Amino acid sequence: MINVDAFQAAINLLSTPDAWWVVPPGLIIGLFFGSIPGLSISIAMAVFLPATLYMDFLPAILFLTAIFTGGGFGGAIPAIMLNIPGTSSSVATAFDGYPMACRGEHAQALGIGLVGSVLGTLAGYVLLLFAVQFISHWVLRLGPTEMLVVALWGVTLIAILNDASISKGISAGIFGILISTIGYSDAGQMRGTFGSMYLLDGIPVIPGLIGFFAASELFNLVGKQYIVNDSSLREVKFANILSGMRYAFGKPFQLLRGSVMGTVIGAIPGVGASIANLARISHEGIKESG
Amino acid sequence: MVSENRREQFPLGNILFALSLAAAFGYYAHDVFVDARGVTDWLLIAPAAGIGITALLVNVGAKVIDWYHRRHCLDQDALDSTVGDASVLPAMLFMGLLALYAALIPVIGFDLGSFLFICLALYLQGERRWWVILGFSFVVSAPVVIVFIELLNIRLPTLLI
Repeated sequence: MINVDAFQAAINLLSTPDAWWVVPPGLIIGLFFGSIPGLSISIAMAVFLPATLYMDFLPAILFLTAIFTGGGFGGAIPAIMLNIPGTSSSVATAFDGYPMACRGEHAQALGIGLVGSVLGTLAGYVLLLFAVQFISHWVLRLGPTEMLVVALWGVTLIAILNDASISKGISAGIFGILISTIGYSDAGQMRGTFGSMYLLDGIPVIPGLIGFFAASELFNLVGKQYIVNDSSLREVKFANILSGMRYAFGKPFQLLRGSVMGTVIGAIPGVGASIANLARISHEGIKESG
Repeated sequence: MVSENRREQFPLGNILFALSLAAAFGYYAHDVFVDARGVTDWLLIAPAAGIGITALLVNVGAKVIDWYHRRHCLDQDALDSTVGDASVLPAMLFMGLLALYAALIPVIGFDLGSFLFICLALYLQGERRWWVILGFSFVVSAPVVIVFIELLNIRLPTLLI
């Protein structure tokens, strides 16, 4: 269970009002970096880490946490509006969000994404608060075998997610696995670098995501004037965002299920939100088809 | 309507892509296998490539069988239709432009390359007002170049900055 004294001390620290002024700018920075494909939460943290040198430790932690939290939703914005996930954790958001945007329901999709992100993050933090001790013991016992099983599970999820053809989904998953092996192996073998020093470290996730999602979407958009053809549906109305938020609030059990699943999968090292969001959407898809 | 006509044609593009990808999987797995110093070097890659190639060949087979079943139900006029070509050409040109941009960045620099890429992409999209093309390209490419090079300190080849 949680250490009550330490928890009480943390609450006392957080009750310092002066420490909270860094949260809004941190959220805005996270939103900005998360919403631009190519910039990521980790880049935002790296860029703004020097700023924390001039802060006390509590505002510094709050600032970086705010950047992380803001970036979590920021990645959903290009996923919904452009079908280009800003972060690997918002890949599944594009599956449902972009079709909604094409129908002119982008504001509702943003509202749903915002509530899902905020409540999911909050629930995840609360769950972690109570379970972090147990989970940390459990995570440390995970070895290569368990990691392989989780990775294979991720590939299987990709196959399930592709409604049109399982073989296409499997080949896409294998393609991803093979791309991830490019560069120096743990044993020092150089693989698939074509002699380029830029590939020695492999292909990072974010450039890979942008290459596959952004480039393919660019090709789709060539020759088109607008994503939404009907000009009356192109406006972003705050009322529509609110209606999307109301819709999300009306699904508390789905939000809770997603939060629990995200927390459990996100606690596994090396897996994180990249698989958690796919697992969640495949679980919903299976339930609906069932 | 366009997509319906195109679906009934022989899925040459799909099949060529799948076979090329399968060949790439095979080449990569072979390359790793040849250079491997032990089983652990190819233990993941070779079986994964094998599964991927099998999945792609299954996909090719399914496409061909699907096309075979459909082609007898078709009107010949629909088969001969070239309605789709008009929408494919801009996308193909854009792919070529993107490849050219990536290839020329080391030579002409990220700054000039980005500017020219956006100019040509806008022209492909149908924009013909030269001041819009030049102005928009500059307004978009300059901040991107400055952010990446000055703020994020990413080492990129440049010609002007």
